Amino acid sequence: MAVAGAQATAQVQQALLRLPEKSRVVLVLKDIEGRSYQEMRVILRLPITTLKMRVVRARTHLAGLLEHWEGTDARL
Amino acid sequence: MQDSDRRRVHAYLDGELSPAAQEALLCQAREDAALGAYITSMKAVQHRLRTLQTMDDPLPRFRRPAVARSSAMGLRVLAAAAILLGCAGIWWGLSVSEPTAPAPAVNAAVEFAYVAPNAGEVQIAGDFTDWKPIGLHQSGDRWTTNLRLSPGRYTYMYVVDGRWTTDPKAHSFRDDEFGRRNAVLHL
Repeated sequence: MAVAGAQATAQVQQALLRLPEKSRVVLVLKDIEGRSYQEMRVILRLPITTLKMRVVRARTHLAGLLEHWEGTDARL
Repeated sequence: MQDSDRRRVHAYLDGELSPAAQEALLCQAREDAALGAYITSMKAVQHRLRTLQTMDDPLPRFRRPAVARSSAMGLRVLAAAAILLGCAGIWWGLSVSEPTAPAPAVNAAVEFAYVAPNAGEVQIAGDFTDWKPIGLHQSGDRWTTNLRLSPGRYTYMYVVDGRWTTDPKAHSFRDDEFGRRNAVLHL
């Protein structure tokens, strides 16, 4: 289990590194660091609507990468 | 799937939907297989990202400077090097760091030195390594590495036992996009 967990973690990290930087930024802030959109607005100096759109695109892109790598069995 | 549905899904994931709107979305998802699959997929992604929350450094290579900007060199560098060479301080217990930049020239040799008696591993990462940490060599309490760098402005951080650490002895700093400070070296 530990090895599988480590592999899964490494896969997510690799997938994140494949994303465009704009997408990585919002995912790290939103889903890893757990920031609110208000905080992200201050940090990135972008409108909240822009941030939300980027989060949508980034999550969708990341899901596509992970599913491509892992196949349908990898869905949690 | 419509963009509006997609936005609702992410609002749901971000906890921004009212209970009624949430229930409506889930009810709709039960009848719309594509929407249901999308919710499942996005939940999985969010879950997997959240598993990185417990890591000290979930994405090391991510720490890049926001903007590169040219700046003055020459006397400023020499003065900073003299100050850094003459300084010895205490930072975070027994840790002292002192990047020294002798004789700036084309591909100047730059010694990065970090004093950390209790560290098991010290690395450095910066523009010049594409933010990939490289190890410093230990000699007693000192950890050093020599790099040949062309004139310019570089940002970097030390990685002490896996912990990204700003060099407090740098003569200038630059905030990254995550509220941390990169040390800046001018050559």
